[in-house]
Amino acid sequence: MKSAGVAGIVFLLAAAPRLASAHRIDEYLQATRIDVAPDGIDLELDLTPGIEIGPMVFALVNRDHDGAISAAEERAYAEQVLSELVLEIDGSRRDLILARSTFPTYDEMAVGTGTIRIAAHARGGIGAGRHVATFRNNHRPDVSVYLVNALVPANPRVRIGAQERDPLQRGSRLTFDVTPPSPSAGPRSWAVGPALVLCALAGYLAFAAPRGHSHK
Amino acid sequence: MKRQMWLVFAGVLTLAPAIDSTAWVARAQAGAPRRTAAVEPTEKAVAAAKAFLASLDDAKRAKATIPLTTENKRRWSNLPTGATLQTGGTERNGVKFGNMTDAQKDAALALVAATLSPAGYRKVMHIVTADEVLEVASAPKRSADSKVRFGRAEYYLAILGTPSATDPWMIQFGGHHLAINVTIVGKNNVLTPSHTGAQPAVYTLEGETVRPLGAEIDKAFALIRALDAGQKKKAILPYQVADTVLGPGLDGKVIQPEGIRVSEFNADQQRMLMDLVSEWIGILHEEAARAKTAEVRANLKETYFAWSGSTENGGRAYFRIQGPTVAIEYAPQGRDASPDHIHTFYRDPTNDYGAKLIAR
Repeated sequence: MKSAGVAGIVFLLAAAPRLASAHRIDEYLQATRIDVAPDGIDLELDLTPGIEIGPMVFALVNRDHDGAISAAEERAYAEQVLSELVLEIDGSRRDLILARSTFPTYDEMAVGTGTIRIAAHARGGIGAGRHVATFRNNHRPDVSVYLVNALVPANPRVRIGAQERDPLQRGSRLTFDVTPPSPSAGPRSWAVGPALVLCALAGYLAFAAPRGHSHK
Repeated sequence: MKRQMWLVFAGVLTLAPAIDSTAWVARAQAGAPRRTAAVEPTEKAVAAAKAFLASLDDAKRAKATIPLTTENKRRWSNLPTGATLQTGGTERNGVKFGNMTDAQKDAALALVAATLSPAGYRKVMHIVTADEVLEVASAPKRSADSKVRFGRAEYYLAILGTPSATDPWMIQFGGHHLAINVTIVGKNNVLTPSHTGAQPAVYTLEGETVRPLGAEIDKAFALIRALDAGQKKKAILPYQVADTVLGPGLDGKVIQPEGIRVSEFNADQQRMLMDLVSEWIGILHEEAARAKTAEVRANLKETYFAWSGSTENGGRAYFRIQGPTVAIEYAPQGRDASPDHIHTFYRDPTNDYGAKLIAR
């Protein structure tokens, strides 16, 4: 649970000198990393409100305005953010499933150093071939600056091609190729038959063959 | 000169008398003493680490030496003391300079100097002094309950593992806008990941104008301006980049490279790029820097240079150098047209914290 006093909000806003601010001031930095894999796309979002935005974001999260953020409020805000993201693969919108989120304290948000971290997964496998993923972040464009970057895929079957963005990085268009699974990645077909024969033989020897002599 | 710049100068001139000239600055201005060729850098670091530990009492020694674990290695940040670091907690590893005696500070600085080049040590000390300028400017305006602190006293030195000429160990020297992470594995010394930054980006000290990251800035702008129109079209990203992409807490992530391939540079442009990269590689002592330089040069064909923003020196611009074994990001903070607050990060996607060497 994170708590905050209204007096603290007012004081921080009035007293925070720009020179002394450790970091972001009047912008909401929303950084998205896109991780493409054959079984779907993972998104990682780091949302960092500046010192003048922190109280506003805190109020967005703290929906009942009791000065404390509950787990339900954290989840609700994370879900709200995800609902304002649009991810399409080959023109078809994918649902984003919240995987996890962590929230900073009010104090951290109020000094511009707290980051909300949200991870989400877009369900649905991606078949072999060339694909286009488009992404757009529609969360609080009035106060935000954006970053969006594709990660180098961990899976060698995925290769990122062109990566285009709008001038503010609110949206991006990613072209990528997925190659079929390599036959060498799974059991070799030529080995399956002999393996089954060996298993059957082992089973027979273990359970059906005459037992050895018992020792008393 | 732009009006904003004059304001910065004026502010710093007013503050200058409050910034004392201690051993930190003296060492920074003189540069660290050059080591003799007969002493291996690792041996020198081991000796300096042992001398530092010997200068501490038991309680401080226990705080200064911590296990070489993944969690401990990752605990570094661009943020000041009091802010929650990206990896959690509000305090860095090790012993704070503000809690050291003068003799302990000297031993600590000798250890830092033993691992860095003279130029690297000078750069690091100028970053620390910039933060002292920031502390002097901000302290009178700070709320009584604020936990955030800047300044020379808020830098920490830690030793992860046991100083050894053969086994892996690590030195962390850091504070606001600084994370020097030196992993030592036998004769190999690795500086990645590391962070340099500055706020203010320009100040005066004893009559001298100091720009802690001035060389990086000048060399980067010179390089982008040396590209022809076709090269600029590829190098300059057609979108704004508001911050660095892979800061603290984002170890192990590699973004898709963008911009122009350095293989499209002519020889002069490639030399300029290597000279720019040397501002990060060259923080570490000469032998390690030489080896790293050769490695980066060998991969130039697969290295990219990307730029966003103004191409006028002093203007607001972001740049990134990314190759198979190097990733450097430079980003001004905030929206000022003439940035006075800068962050940079230096990584090696294959060898952060000496991963490649330790895995052998």
